[in-house]
Amino acid sequence: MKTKTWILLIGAVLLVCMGLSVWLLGSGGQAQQAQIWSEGELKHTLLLSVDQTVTVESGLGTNVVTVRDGKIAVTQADCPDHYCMDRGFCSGGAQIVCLPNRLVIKFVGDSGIDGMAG
Amino acid sequence: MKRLFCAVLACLLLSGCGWFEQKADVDFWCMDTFMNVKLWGSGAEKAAGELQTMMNDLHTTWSAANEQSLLGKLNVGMEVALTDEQQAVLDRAQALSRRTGGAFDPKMRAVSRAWGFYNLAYRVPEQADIDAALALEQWDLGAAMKGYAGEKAAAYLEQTGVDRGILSLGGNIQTYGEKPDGTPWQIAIQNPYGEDALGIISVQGTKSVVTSGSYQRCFEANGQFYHHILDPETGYPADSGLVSVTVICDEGMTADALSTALFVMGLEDGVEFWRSSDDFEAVFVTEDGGIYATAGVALSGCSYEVIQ
Repeated sequence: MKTKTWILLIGAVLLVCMGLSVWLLGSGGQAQQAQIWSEGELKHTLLLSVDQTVTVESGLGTNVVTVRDGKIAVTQADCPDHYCMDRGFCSGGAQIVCLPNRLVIKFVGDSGIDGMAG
Repeated sequence: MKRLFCAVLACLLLSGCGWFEQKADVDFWCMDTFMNVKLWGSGAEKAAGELQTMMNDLHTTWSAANEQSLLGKLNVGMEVALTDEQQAVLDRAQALSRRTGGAFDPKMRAVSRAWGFYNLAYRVPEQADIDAALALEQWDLGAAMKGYAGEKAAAYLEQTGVDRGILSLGGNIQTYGEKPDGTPWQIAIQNPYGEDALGIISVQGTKSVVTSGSYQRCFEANGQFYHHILDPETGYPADSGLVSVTVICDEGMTADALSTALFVMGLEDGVEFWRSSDDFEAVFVTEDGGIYATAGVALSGCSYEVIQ
């Protein structure tokens, strides 16, 4: 192959890598999306920029999840302790968990926090 | 030659992007809680599977709710042949109880049960029931086992090709190894009043970070607030003026037990206990919203008082 082709190829690889780096490393700030998992299955992926309410029903119980102003919360639940609701509206960081109903809300594109103790 | 040069260059660029690093990110339910294991490095996927098995085995052995478990058998007075590891765990639990003057008590099963913390059927027991439950002295390592699990997981990872990892074991955080760029792990402390994080602790290397808070497993009855951290002296929820205590320690089991013990002690006695120790750091959050961090904690994102 000609030198020109090689230069183009290397250039292309460099560009792809730079793009990937920005995508992988630069996703600081707040999460863009949240995933709702119920009993180990992904049920919804929600954009935090869109205000909405979804009801998640499982064999164990029902949770109502609300997105408002870029944040997400469990706003109604039939679990006995309502611990999931006590977390309030969150925009990133550790997942929101409802133990009795086996519901997990995970944030995609994280906020620089590796974990949450609590 | 040119071709080789280009191939090497491409490899370097790709590895720089992290393409060649294996990663595992596994969720599962175990020990009646939600667990997440994130590992980076060679054999990450396999190691994550092994850790899940390890957690399930620990639950089978140590669950105080299960009558067939080791603790279940000990609690009905059965003779059980203990492995060295099991004996060591029981010995350490009792040593931690002595060290904390009984503020951590590994024999509170019957009392927790009387309050309904076992099956989320919360209720305020009669005084006579509490007294009877306290006298039973049944084993329950619920306040130490997730910490022990994290510690055991870190020891296992030492024998694998995994470079680093972070485990969230129902609110207990266990870090393993260093991030590639050498920056510390960023561990948020849950805000007891909801809404994102209270503050962020930076920890370097392999550590256990455990928070005990009265905002978990709690209920209201007759206008009174009750929570799951029981004072072994009274059998009632500890009324120490604290809402949460976070402990950072090399040993997970110690971190777990001490977070409970310090919660029971309260701020003043807890600080004295810290001053007479050299193996942990702590963050106390009081009912009036005050945050107090011992001198060795790297805490950011909130205003707080440093304890010397």
